[in-house]
Amino acid sequence: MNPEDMTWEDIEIGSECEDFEYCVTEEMVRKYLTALGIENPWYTKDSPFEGPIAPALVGRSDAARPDWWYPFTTHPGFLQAKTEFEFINPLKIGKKIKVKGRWVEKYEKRGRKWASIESIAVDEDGLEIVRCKITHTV
Amino acid sequence: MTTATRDIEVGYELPSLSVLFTLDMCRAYSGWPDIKNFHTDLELARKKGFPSVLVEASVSGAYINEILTRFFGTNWFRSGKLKLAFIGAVHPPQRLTAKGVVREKIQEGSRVKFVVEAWVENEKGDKVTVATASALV
Repeated sequence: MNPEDMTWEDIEIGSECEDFEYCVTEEMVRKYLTALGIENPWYTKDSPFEGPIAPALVGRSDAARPDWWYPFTTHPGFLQAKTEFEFINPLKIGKKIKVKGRWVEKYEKRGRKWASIESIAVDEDGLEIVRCKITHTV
Repeated sequence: MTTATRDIEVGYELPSLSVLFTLDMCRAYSGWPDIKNFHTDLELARKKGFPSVLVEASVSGAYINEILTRFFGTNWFRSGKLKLAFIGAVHPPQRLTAKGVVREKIQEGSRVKFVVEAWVENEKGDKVTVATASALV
């Protein structure tokens, strides 16, 4: 099935989302910090982790990747409800990370449909960086 | 930068972070002009019934994450846990202030787990995002 054609009813618990990769570059971090008005030398100069590191949420929520959420994104009442993170290791700027995700729950409550994806991000050296679970509702 | 040490007591208020979040910042964060949606485009936002563009929920999450990063330091990146719930809409320009309070200290082996209640409030003092966080010190 084309992911763009998926509906909430089509979500299969345990099914995996398509992996994706991205690199957290200096430019990405700079734009992130400028947009938010955040200053912290750990992200731009140096840190106790030997070099600058990315803000823990620079990837926003990996599990919120838009093309994983086609069953929801076309709905006018689509809302991000809650997000959970477990930070495991810092991410060095310049490292590429790979994100895997899978659908872990779906239910109906208070007249709305809800569903959750869990993701894990691992850097190019195999180091786990962050686990995330995001719940959206329509 | 780490301020969390084991002698910090329950009730300790984390240093807050306050930012005037403008339309330009909202657009920059959400990928304008490449991305046109109700987070970046005024017309699209108004078509959805919003008075202005809607700030992405993750903006509040970023501010909460920052006060926790400054509080826990390296411990945040290796043992931090964060649960965020988005409870209020934010439209720019809006002053957003992230705050946190230590609610629990729990001995876990040789380390102490600090549990923090954190939130972002708007300029009226209304909470728009609430969070529970913890890390080992």
